[in-house]
Amino acid sequence: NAKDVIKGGRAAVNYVRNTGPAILQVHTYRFNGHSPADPEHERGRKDEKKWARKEQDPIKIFEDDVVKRGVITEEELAEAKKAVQKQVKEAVAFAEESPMPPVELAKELEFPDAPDTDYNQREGPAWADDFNKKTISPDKMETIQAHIKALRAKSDAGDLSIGDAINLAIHEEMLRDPTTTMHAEDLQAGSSYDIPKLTQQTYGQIRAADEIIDEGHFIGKALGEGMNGYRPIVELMNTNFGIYGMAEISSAGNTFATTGGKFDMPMTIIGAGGTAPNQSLGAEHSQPFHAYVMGIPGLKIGTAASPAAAYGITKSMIRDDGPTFLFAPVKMMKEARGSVDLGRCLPLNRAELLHKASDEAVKNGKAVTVLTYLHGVKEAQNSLQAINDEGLDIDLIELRSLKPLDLPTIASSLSRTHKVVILDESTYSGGVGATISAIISESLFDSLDAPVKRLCMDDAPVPYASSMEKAVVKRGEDLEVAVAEIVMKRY
Amino acid sequence: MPLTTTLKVYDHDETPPGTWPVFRVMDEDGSLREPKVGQSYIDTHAPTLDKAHAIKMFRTMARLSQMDHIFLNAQRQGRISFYMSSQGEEAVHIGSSTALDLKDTIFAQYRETGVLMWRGFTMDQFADQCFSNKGDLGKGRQMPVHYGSRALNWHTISSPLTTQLPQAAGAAMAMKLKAKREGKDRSDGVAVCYFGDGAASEGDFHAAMNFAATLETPVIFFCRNNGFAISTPVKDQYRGDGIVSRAKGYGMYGIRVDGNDLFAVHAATAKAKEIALSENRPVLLETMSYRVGHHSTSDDSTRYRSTDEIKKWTEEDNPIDRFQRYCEGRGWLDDEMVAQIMDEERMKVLQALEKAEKKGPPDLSTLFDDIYKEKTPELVRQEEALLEHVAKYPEKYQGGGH
Repeated sequence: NAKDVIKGGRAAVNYVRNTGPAILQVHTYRFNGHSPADPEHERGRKDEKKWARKEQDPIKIFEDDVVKRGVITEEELAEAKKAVQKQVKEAVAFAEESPMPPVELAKELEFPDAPDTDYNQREGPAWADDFNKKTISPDKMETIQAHIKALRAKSDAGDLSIGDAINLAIHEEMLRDPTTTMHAEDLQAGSSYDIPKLTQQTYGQIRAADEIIDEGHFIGKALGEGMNGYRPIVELMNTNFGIYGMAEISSAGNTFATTGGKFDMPMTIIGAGGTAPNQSLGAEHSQPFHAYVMGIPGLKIGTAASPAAAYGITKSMIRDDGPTFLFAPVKMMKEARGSVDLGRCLPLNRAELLHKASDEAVKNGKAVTVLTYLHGVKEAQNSLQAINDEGLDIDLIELRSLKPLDLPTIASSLSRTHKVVILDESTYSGGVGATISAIISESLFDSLDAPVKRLCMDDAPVPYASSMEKAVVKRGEDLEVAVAEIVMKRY
Repeated sequence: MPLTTTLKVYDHDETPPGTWPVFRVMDEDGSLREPKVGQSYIDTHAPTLDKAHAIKMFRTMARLSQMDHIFLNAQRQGRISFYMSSQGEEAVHIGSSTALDLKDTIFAQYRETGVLMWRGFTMDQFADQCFSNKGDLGKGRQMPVHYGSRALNWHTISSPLTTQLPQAAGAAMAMKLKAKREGKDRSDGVAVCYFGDGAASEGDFHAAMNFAATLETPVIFFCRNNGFAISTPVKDQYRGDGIVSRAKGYGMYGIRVDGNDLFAVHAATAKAKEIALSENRPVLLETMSYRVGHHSTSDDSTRYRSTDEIKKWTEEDNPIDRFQRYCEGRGWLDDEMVAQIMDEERMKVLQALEKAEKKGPPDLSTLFDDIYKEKTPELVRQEEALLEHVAKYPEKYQGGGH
């Protein structure tokens, strides 16, 4: 009964506007099957449906009522029905006659911001300062400015950790754009690596919320915020728990395209994860979630193995208008120390050449391109000396952007070395290394003098016992061997 | 929360008005609240509560307490990499475990060590798992405290929270189907699923409750409400009346119990089991207690709560002390006996620790076992490559510490 729905609905809406959340349960009747694919022949609902159409038809109830009360006449109703039918017929004809969407549209709807966007050119909202003055008390502002200053001093001293670098980026962006929000479990206690440190104390409990335990669904909640004018940052205590949120992350990736480009959804997910030699966290804290989400369309995926990368990429990801996911190496969050390029956003489609092989090594055919990311970066850097001692050298490229992949940087290196080894923190079946290996073989085959060598995890759950973990997770020693063997043409 | 000495498991159409009461038999000082009523629970439900049995229960709680203390220290000394203690929940563990048997199938979260201990898991087995050595039933694959035992009908602990709840509903379904197949009118046992107040926020909680209720399965959902989910206090975890109040919404039975009262936990668990078996319906049981220790060795709870608060619970409402005072009142324990028991259990734990530390790691050749029943050609190939590699560099792959 439409009148009851209006009355009940108004009461519920009024309650929600003034007091809190409510559940409105409306009882109706489903006349047909779930969809045309469900004719319900076998369910014996014929008599039931006859009764429903006779007694439970809301339109019929409405019409009988208004005619009885003389509010609208039978003729007026007939007129209205005719007009509506005409409208619907015209709409159908319009749809049938309209041309199909152009083929290029799919690519255009992949990301709201092009892969090569320079986020340094983005202006923050003009009203930010005013808003901050109104919402952050003077002594809270003093505290946070002191905190930012202290972190910047650490950066200048080359002593900023990855966790702190991300925290610095987050505060800069939350002050620059007050539509930015922060979500994490144990947020007010700083979570595990101080990524959300001081956010709740500065911006309040609504903008920096302590999440109840439901990773999947607080990602979904952030999705809702993101589609409605906010920039949510979600920290996963460990990216393994992001698995709960696969449905939501997939949804996030789909949002821009499936809404026809009408809804931006600027969510940034940040988490420490991956696996490292002697990580000792067992299978369920060592899964390569970055590999699992690689196939999700619309998602920009980045990795950072240094404070500099973490800081610059976090800033860009927050400013990007689509869903982005930054992975950091769980065992390096506090140990890796360095400086950051203060105030600068890094591109989201670039790999970084961390070490260039000497021209001599290249000339003598003793240089190899090494592609890696997360803990692999530390492993490779620690192996550089041993590699050089063998008379070999490497172009060490950190894949800071897993998606979109920076093929030009890889191509440029391969055009010098013609040999590539991937130190990969994904499994043999599926994952990052497999994807890159395939892409290289398909598009850079002519640059290759040897098959692509992939050092990846075996298809076994990462064991906890360190003696076994050592065997599954590839490391510096394996890289040294692989580099030597590819140069000696042993494959 | 109001206290009651009436043991009542509420069905969804008769839920208590207002805050759900907490069922308690024994007060903090070890005396029975209503002696006749309390005694009747002890007499009816405790399996012959004589001195021997009482001392066995006390000894098990003592062993758990010593194990927590020693293994925590072992982690700080770098001998094991990780540990989670159960301080403050000893009565929850022993009280519930004594009401169950090996025909009941158990799913747990990670803070139920005492339940497994009572079921028969030995100190050596606990230590082997924590050291992930060659004696570990889990073959060195899982982090410490991820115990598992097919023999004791205890599903191996899995890290992600709450996934065990829908699994428990499924296990209960399996037990119900088995009973039907065998022409029995009740299952041989129930599924019991332990989880915490924070875990109840995960989506799987909702799914599991609904499954168990609509499929009419004999499962006890056992919520250990200890006030904290790492640093998140319950006041930020939910706004309703704890976890048990949700039972009504799912059309389920519910009961709330004083988790520091060994007898109350036991009686409630026994009653819940009887209802689940005779009616093939799930029961939501919530114990109220306090997590005295840190979340784990990766946590420092003084970051988010006062040491005064922790001290208060340790000294004024300690489940082991409460039961000890009852036993002293019955003349079954005295200071000397308690000291001796503590000492003996401490030695047992230390010996197990030292023994486990000396055992070597599992054999590398087991790495590719158990992924599939039969190794695929791909896995065989990877295994051969690995063993060849290790044979080439034996000094790099000796078993070793963590």
